[in-house]
Amino acid sequence: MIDEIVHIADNSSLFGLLTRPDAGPVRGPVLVVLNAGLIPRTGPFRLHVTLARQMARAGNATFRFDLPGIGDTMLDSPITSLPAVTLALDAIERHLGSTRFVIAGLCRGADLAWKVALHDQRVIGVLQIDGLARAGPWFHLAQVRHHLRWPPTRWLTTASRLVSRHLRREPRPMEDLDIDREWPAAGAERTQLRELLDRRVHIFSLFTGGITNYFLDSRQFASTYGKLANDPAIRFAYWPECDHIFFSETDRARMIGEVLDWYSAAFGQIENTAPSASTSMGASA
Amino acid sequence: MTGAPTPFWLGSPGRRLFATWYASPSAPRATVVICPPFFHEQFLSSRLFSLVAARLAQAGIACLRVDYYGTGDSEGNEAEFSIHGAREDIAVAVAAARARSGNAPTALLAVRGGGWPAWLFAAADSSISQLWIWQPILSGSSYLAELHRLDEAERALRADYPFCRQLGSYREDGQLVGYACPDALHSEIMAAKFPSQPLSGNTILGVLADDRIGEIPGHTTQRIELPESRTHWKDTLEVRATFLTRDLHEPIDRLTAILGTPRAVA
Repeated sequence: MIDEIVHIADNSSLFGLLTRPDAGPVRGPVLVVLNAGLIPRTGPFRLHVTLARQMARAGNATFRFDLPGIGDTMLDSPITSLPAVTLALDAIERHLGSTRFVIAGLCRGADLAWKVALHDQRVIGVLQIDGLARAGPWFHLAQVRHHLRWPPTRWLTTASRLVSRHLRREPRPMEDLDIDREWPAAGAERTQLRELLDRRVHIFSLFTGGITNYFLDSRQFASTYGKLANDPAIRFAYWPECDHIFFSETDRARMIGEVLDWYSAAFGQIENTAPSASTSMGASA
Repeated sequence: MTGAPTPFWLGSPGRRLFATWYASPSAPRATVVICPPFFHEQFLSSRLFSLVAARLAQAGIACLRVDYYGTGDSEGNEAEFSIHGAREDIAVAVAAARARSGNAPTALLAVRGGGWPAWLFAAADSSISQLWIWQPILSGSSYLAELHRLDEAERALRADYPFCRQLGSYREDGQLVGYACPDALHSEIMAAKFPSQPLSGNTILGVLADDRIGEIPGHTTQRIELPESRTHWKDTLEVRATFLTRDLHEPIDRLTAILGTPRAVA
């Protein structure tokens, strides 16, 4: 396994680490891992480092870098997140010759991965962890079911807390649903998913039990994306027993194993270069 | 680009360390090797000390940040990290910093637990002009108690999520605040303390801390007060707690002034 420093753009602090097998060619598309929120490129508890190393052992390359304003990347650059990812793909293409990419992200990183996939034709896969899902009726039903299981003491303490919050004019807990995420207008995700599937983009959407402010029931996925949710190019998993930042090493290992399995199933037969020259829309958009 | 770090590799094959170099606009007045904290504090504080390094560099103090073996972007896995290994990594980083900065005096800025390996190194290398410790941890046993409290709180937090699996304890999985902490490392931290060894008389010792952290016993230290509001980042897994806010500019600028004039008094 080799870790290489790859500079993304001249005159900027953008750089990243490419982890690839130390012998033989790189198999399949290059996995590009985006920051999980504001956490630097190593990921929470070094998750992205471990993922990259395991990917390299399986013959794949992984690139991870800090978006502007995160980790080592300074903010005094005019480059914003989406163009920064495009530049990163350009840099890997120059460095490795790869023209096919899979974009991965957790939380806000998942939102950006989705946008990148829509923007750049070189993207043939998206791994989104705790990405977009609308609450809808299944969420509210699950919430009610969950609350009904509360013991009476918890009802009393919650009621007391709500009254106290009301008196102090604090926001109500349900306002958690005003999720601070970069999601498209409600309904637009179906059109966007159609667009990605028409391009034969593979999608792995994993939800954890740590996003109880908007995801509590696996049926929310289908209610968000409609019939397209059943497309064979989509893998969906709901791991309610796992938290949002993979605090447990067991959960991290399980997640990495699942990603490796998906990668092999979705891209096992795919080379890392397209048959013709690069078809980046991002570079010209 | 001004203030932008230059990434590079240090060390030998099999123990390569990831480092970033923050060059000063002109010949540096001093060079600082930043020795990061351990466990979750490493990734939580990464942005803060990247910005601290950039600010020091702008003011003429070149900086080198390094990830110890088994941490951050360096080679090795978490279970291979040790305090004595980190001391060796600091030696490699200091040699690299000197090679890049010529004759400028070399100082260490160690953060939290990073103070222990930095002290071990400085005690053996009298050419270290200054050793500054950011929020020093005076005793390993109290640090472990703090880590175990945070670890238990994080594990207990899962009870707030209706479906999250409850996790066992550190004794069951060997994980401390999300990281492997094998028995050897646990014992090493338990035994860590200040002062571990006498520092050379040539080395100025300084502390950046709020007033809850006392003096290092038996040593005259220079001291720069940190605002209490900016010292709680170690108590939470919230990365926002480590932003470089304006109230940290003044302490960092004071540090810059002292580092630039090695014999000055804080």
